[in-house]
Amino acid sequence: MNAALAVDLPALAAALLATLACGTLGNWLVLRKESMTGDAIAHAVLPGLVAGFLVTGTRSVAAMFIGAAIAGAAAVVLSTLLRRVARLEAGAALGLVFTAFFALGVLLLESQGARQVDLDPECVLFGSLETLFYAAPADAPWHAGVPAEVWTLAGAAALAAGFSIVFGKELASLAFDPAHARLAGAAPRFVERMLLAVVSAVIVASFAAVGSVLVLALLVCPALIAAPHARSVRGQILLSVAIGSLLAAAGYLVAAHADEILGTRTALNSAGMIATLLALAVPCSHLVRAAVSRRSA
Amino acid sequence: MSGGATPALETRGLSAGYLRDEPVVRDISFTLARGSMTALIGPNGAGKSTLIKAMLGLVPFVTAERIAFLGTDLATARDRVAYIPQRSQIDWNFPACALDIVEMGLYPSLGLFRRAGRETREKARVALATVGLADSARAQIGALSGGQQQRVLVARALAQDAELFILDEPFANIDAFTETSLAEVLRGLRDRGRTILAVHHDLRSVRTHFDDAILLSHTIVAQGAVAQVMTDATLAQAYGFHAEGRAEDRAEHHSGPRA
Repeated sequence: MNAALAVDLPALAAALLATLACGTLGNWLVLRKESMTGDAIAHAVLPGLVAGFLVTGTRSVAAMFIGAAIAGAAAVVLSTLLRRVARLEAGAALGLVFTAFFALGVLLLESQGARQVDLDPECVLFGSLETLFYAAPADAPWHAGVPAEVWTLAGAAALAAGFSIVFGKELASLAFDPAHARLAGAAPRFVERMLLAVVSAVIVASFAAVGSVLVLALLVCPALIAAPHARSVRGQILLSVAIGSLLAAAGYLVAAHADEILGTRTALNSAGMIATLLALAVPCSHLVRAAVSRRSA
Repeated sequence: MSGGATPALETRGLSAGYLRDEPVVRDISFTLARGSMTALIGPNGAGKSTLIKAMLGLVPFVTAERIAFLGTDLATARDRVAYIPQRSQIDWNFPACALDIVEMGLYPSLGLFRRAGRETREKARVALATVGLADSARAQIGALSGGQQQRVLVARALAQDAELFILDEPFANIDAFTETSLAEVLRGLRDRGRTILAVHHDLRSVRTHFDDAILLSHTIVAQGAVAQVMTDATLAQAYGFHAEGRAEDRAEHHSGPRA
């Protein structure tokens, strides 16, 4: 394979799969007015991810999942305690806990960073899109050369899409009117817990490849871009994934080829570039909507 | 009074609130016969919404000797109980048309894994037509008027084909046409043996819309037929006015519609 493609294709695939996974689920969070939940999870699991890595010494998905699950559970218990014992308001308790956990994670990273060249704050924040590449295997089928991160993201994307299709009607009615759905829904508690579990799993799975900044942007921005134009929940999800994918591809290509396109001396960080484009697109989308409705009014 | 032997709703000794040891409503006991139509009235802050949410398990701290829906517990009866929240509690920018929302009333009967098909859509259309919104089936819910939005919520409950309808301020901030048609729809349900309990704040229209009333001011002040419940003495007690002129008129003056 052509050398440029061997570098660009796996990274593009990772960015697009992360968009599909996080972008799809983000719609449910935004519709439920729980955009901060993704934020909270992504911050709270960091010490678990780092600890999983430090204990096993490898960036294996299983170790990271176990560490993240423990950290996530600890964050839930702590914020519940703060609410009950210290009588803090729910948002304040959550905000306190996830900031503290994130700080703990960064501390762990910094203190161990010198020893572990494989994991550093940069990688946690911005992922490792730049380091993914396809190595054509000499005596193995073609897919043996695909980086592990891409397979993990493919699994996350399949999980997010499958969950949204199977439980779509429950998720929609819970988002529209939680009181009614909790009362009359088929299995409201089960579906809500599943949503939390699937969001957590997708965040952890996306972390290694795209980093926390892009995970957060992908969870919230595509849904917010699509929301003012959507007429149905399904329409909003499809539109958000479509626009998110376009911006992800554009962001990656611009950053990776910034020297040719923007005339910079080096390539730019692609996760950061994609997140920037996504964040800029949100107000643009709302302005377009406002302009259209003013004209038609 | 008509219908089955067991009451539609029975509550004994209920206290509930949002903070531990600080109940908003206390020692509430009442029984609704099947086919009855009852207004839950009382001043702002009396705990009307809290009371119905408490019975439905939507309030954090609830104690009660007994809460029975259709002679059983809520978990068993829940597909036969329809709750219609205050319109202001809902985000009307949600991406859906009127028909999508009414279909949500049918999701419980479909179960977890079955998807909504043509039959579901048909039932939803019938329910929308019942509340006079057949022509607005495909309209975005955000583009509907307040009265139309309220009717969409009622249609969702109709589609569910419940036996007990619990409504939180269904007549708040709606146009006169919707008020009349909504009252007609609710009376039609009562005539078919359904039971209606509605939080209501407009004391003038209690008599025209309802048969029975429960007057609440943290505890129950009076309950029974509307005429017995709404006397100068009971209203003065609930609204805190002293019997000087008609308490009813003053109460109206004081408790404007809630936003």
